[in-house]
Amino acid sequence: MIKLPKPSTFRLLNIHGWSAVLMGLALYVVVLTGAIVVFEHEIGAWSVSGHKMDGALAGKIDERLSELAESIPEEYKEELTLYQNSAGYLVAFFHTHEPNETGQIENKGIRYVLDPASLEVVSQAEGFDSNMPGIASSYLGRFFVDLHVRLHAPNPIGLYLTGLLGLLLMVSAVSGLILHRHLIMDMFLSPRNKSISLKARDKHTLAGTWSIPFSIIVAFTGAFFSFATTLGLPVIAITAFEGDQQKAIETIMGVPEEIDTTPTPFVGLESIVIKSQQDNIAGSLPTFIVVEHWGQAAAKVTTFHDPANGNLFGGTHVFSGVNGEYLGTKPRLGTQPSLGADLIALIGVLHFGLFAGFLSKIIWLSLGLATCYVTYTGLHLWTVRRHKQATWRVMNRLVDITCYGTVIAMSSAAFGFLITYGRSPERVVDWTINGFLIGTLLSVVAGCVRPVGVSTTRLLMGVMGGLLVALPVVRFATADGGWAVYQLEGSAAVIGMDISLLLVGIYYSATAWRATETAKGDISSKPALATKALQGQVSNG
Amino acid sequence: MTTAIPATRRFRYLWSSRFWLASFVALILPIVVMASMSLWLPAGDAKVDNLVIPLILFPLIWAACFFYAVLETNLKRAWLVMLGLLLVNGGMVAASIMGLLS
Repeated sequence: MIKLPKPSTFRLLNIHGWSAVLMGLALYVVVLTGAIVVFEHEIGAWSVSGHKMDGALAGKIDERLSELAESIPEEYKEELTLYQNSAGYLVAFFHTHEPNETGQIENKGIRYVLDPASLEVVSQAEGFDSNMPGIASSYLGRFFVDLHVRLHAPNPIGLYLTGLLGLLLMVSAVSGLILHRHLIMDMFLSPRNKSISLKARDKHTLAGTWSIPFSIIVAFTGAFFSFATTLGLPVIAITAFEGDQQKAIETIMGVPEEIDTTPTPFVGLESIVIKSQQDNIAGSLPTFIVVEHWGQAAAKVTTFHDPANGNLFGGTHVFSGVNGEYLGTKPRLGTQPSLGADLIALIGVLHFGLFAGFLSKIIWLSLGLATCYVTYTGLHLWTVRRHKQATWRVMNRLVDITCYGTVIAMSSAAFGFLITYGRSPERVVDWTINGFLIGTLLSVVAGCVRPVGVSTTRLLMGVMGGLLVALPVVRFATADGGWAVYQLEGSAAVIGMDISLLLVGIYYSATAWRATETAKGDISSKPALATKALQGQVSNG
Repeated sequence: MTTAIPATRRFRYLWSSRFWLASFVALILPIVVMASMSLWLPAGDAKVDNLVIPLILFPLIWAACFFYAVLETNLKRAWLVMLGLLLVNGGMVAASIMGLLS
C-alpha cells in the first residue's frame, strides 16, 4: 500500500512481530474479554437465568428510598446513585466524598441492593466504594469487565498495563496497514491451499485486513480510557492548575454552585421519572439517576438516558429535587455544551459499540473475535517458523494455553458463579475467582500433557468446546424455574446465550474431534505427511 | 527457517539510537505535548476544550511520535525534530509551572 524503503519495511516488520511476541498474549486477553463484555448486560441476565424485572426505576420507589434515607447518617445524603444492575436488582448507594487511606477522594457510604419487585433489601454494605464486596447478582459480568479493564491488577498499574496494550494494538494495526502490499485485494483474499503455512498466513492477512479500522478505533479509545485519569489528568493538573487535581476535576466536570443546606423535603423520584419520559425531555426511561443533597433546598436530580429516537448520544437531564421542576440538560463536561464533551461521548459510543443498538454490538463482538484470531494466527506463524528452537516451541505451547485457556478460565469462572449463586450467594465472589483459577490451571495442564503442535491445540480446543456446551446445561440445572425460564418475558438474553454457547461449543468440540480422526488417518496411511502436519500448524478457525 | 542469533547480536538494538528515540523519547514527548496543549488550545465556551482535547489526542500524538521515529530515514533529523519539539513544549510547561505564564 505504502511504498517504503527496504530498511524501513524490515524495521516495521520486526516491530510488528516482536511487539506481538512480547505483549501479544496479554493483548489477546484484553481484546477477547472486551469483545465478550460488549454483552455484559446479557451475560448478567443469563447468569441469574433472567433479568429480574425491566423498568424498576419507573416503579413505586419513593416510599422505600425515604425509609432508607431516614436510617442513614446525614453526611451520606450528599449523593445518591440509583440504577438497575445487569441482573435487574436495584442498587441504591447513599454516599459522601472523602479522602481514603491513600488520600484520594473516594465515595464512602451505604450501598443497598433491592429486589426490584418487592423493594426488599437483599444486601447492604458500608464503607469506601473500593472496599465494598461485589454485588453477587451481577458479579460474573463485573468480573469479566474488570479482567478487560485492568487485568485484575490493582489501580493504577492495571490501567497503565491495559493502556500500554492499547498502544500496542495501535502499533500492530498501523504497521500492518503500512506493510500491506495490496490492501483492497487482501480484503477478498481466498486462503491458498498450497501449503499449511501459506494458508495460515493468508488467513492471518484476511482477518487482519478486515479488523484494521476496528483495531485502530478500539485501541485509540481504549488507551484514552486507561490513560485519561491515571496519566492525563495529573499532567494537565500540574501544568494548568499548579498540581491541584481537584480544581482540574471541578473545571472539567463543572464547579459546584453554592449549596443551600436549608432542610427541605425531597420531592421524590416517581414524578421526575415520569416527566423525564416525555418526548420533549428525554423520551425514554432513565438508566441511571443521581440525587444530590437529599433533603436540602439545593437538592437536584440528574437522570441519564440511553440514546433514543435515532440519536447517537443519550441525554442527561436535571430536575429540582424540591419541586420536580425541569431545569434543562446537563452537558457531560463543564456547564455548557462543548466540542470536548461531544468527543468524550463519541469515544464512549465507539469503544462500547453503542452507535447502532444491538446490531453494532454484534459487529463489535465479531470484529473483536477477528482481532483475537489475527493475534492467535500471527503468533503461531511466528513460532512455527522458528520451531527448531526450544524457546519458540515453548512459546507455541504458551500461545495455545493462553488463547484457548482464556475461554476455559472464563467458562470455569461462570461455573463457579452458577453453582454458588442459588445456594450460597455470599460465596459467589470467592468461587467465581476460584473457578477462574481452576480453569487457568486446567488449561496449563491440558496444554502441557501432549507434544507441542497440533495435538495440544486439539486437546485445548476440545476442552474449551466441552466446557462451553456444559455451561447452559449447568445454568439450567442450577437455576430456579427450569424450562419455565424460557417462557418468561425478558428471557431473550438467556435463550440467546444458551443457544450461542451450545452452537460454539459443539463447533469446537466437533472440530477437535475431526482433527483427531484426520490425524489418525494421516498417521496410518501417510507418515511423512502426518509428521509435516504435526510440525506445522493446522489453521482451525 | 531462522537459526539462533549469536549472543553478541541478541541485544544489538540497545546500541541503536533509533531504539531510544522510538521508546524513551517517543514516550516523554507526547506527555509533554499533551501538557503544553492545555496552555495554547482555545478553551471554548465551556472552558474545558483545552483540558479535554489533549487527553483525547494523547494516544494519537504518541502514535505519530512513534511512527515518525521508526520511519524517518534521516536519523539525525528525527532526533533534531523530536528534541526540538521537546524543548519548545517542555519550555512552555516549565514556564507555566513556575507561574511565568499567568
